[in-house]
Amino acid sequence: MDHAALRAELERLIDAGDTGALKKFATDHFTEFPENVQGQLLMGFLQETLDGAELQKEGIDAIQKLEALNAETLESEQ
Amino acid sequence: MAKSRPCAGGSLWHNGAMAGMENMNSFGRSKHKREDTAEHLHPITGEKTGMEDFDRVGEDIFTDKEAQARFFKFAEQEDQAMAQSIAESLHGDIVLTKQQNDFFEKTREKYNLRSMEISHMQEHLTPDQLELIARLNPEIASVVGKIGSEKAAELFRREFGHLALTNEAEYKKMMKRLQNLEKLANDKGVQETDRTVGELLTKYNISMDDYEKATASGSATEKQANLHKLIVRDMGYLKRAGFAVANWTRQSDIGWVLIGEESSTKLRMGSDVIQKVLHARDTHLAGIGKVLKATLTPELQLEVQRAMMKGGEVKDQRAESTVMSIQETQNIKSEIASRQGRFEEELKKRKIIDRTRQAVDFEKAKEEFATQEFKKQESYKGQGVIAGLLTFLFTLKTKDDIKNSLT
Repeated sequence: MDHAALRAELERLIDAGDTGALKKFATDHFTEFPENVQGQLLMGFLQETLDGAELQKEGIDAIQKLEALNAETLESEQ
Repeated sequence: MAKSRPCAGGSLWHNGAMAGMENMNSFGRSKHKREDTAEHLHPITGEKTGMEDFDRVGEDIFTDKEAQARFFKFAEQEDQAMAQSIAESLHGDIVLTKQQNDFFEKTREKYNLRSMEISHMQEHLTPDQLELIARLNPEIASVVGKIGSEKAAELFRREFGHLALTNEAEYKKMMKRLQNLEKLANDKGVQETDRTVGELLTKYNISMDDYEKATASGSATEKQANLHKLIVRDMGYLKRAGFAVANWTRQSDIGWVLIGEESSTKLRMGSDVIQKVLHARDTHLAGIGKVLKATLTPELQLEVQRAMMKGGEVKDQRAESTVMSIQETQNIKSEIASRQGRFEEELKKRKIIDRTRQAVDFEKAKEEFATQEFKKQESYKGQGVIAGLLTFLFTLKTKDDIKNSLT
C-alpha cells in the first residue's frame, strides 16, 4: 500500500471507532509506514504496555487493601 | 575524562573573536574538574559510570553538524528563546553575550551528561532486551517477527534518543520503567495479573464480562478510563461498607437504648471500629485514585476521587489538544474536514464577501487562519500508539499547505 492508501484506510478505521482494528492494521502494515512513524508506533505499544502493567499493579494493591478492610469489618460485625 | 581544549566558551569555538580567551580557558577547565569528580550513573542499570568521550566542549559540538543539531534540539527544551538567540549569533558570527555564554555552558554540561546517558541507554537496548519487550506486548512481538529484533532495537534506540533530547520528564519516566522491564517480563505473578484483577473485580461486583469489555481493546489510557468508570459506578464494597457502618450504628444505638450498659460497651467498641473503617475507606479511595497516576492528568485524578467520594459523573478536564483515544482522533479528523467551512465563517465575521475586490483582506484572513490552524495542528499531542498514527495522518501539512487548501 502506498502512503495515500494507508492514510485512507486508517481514516476509515478511525471512523469505525475500533481501536483494536486500528492496532492490527498498524502492525499488519508496519513496514509500509515511514521509519519515523514505525519508531513512534513501537514506542506507543511499549508505553501502553508499561502503563497497563502499572495500572494493574496499583489496582491490585488498592483492591487487596479493600479486601483486608472487608475482612476486618466482617470480623467486627460478628 | 576531561579534555584539554584551547577554547571552552560559546564565543570562541568558531572563527569569531578571540577576546577574553584566557578567562574562557580558565572557566572551561574549572567546569571540567567538577565534571570529573561528579558521580554519573547509567540511566537504566543505575551503575556508576564515567563521562568517557562525552565531555565535549563547544568546539566539539559546533564543528560537527549533527552534534550541533542535537545540541540545539536539547537546548530548545531548556530555553527555546535563548537557544534560538545563540543559534542566530553563531550563524551571524556574532560574539555571545555573557548571558548567552552562561546559558551555553550550563546547557553544555547537561547536554554532555544526557549524551552519555543516551549512549549507555542505546547500548542497553540490545536484541535480547527487545525479546523481553516483545514478551510483554503481542503487537511488539508481531512487529519483531516481521522486521527482526535488531531492526526493532534500532528503531527503539532512535526513539529513546529523540525522547532524551526533547522531553526530559517522559524520558526519565521511561528510564525508570525500563529498569523494571526484566522483572516485569519474567514475573509469573505479573503474567497472571489480568486474571487476578478480573477475579478481584468480580468479587467486588464488577463482572468479569464488564472487566473484559473495558480492557479487551483500546489504549492503556482507554482501558484505565473504562476500568475506573466501572470502579466508580460499581464500588461494591465501599457501598457495602457504608451500609454496614450505618446499619451497625443504628442497631447499636437501639441496643444501647434497650439493653443499657452491655450495649454501651459494644457501642464504644463499635465507634472505634467505625472510625477505623472510615479512615481505611478514605485511604482506599486515595489508593484507587492512584491507579490513574501513570497516565492521567492530576485534574482528572482529582475529579475521579471527588466522584468516588460524592458520587456522580467523572468529567474529563484534560486539555482538549491531548489526544488519548480513538474518539478524540475522530474529533480531530472532523475538525480538519470542517476547515473550509470554518474559514468561510471567519470570512463572514470579517465581512469579506467579494474575494477579488477585497483581495488584501482576504489574503490577510487566509494567512491568519492558516497560522491558527497550523498552531492547533502542532499542539495535538497523542499518547501511546495514537501518537504514531497522528503523526502519519494529521501532522504532515505545512502552514502553506493549509493556506493553499483554503479557497
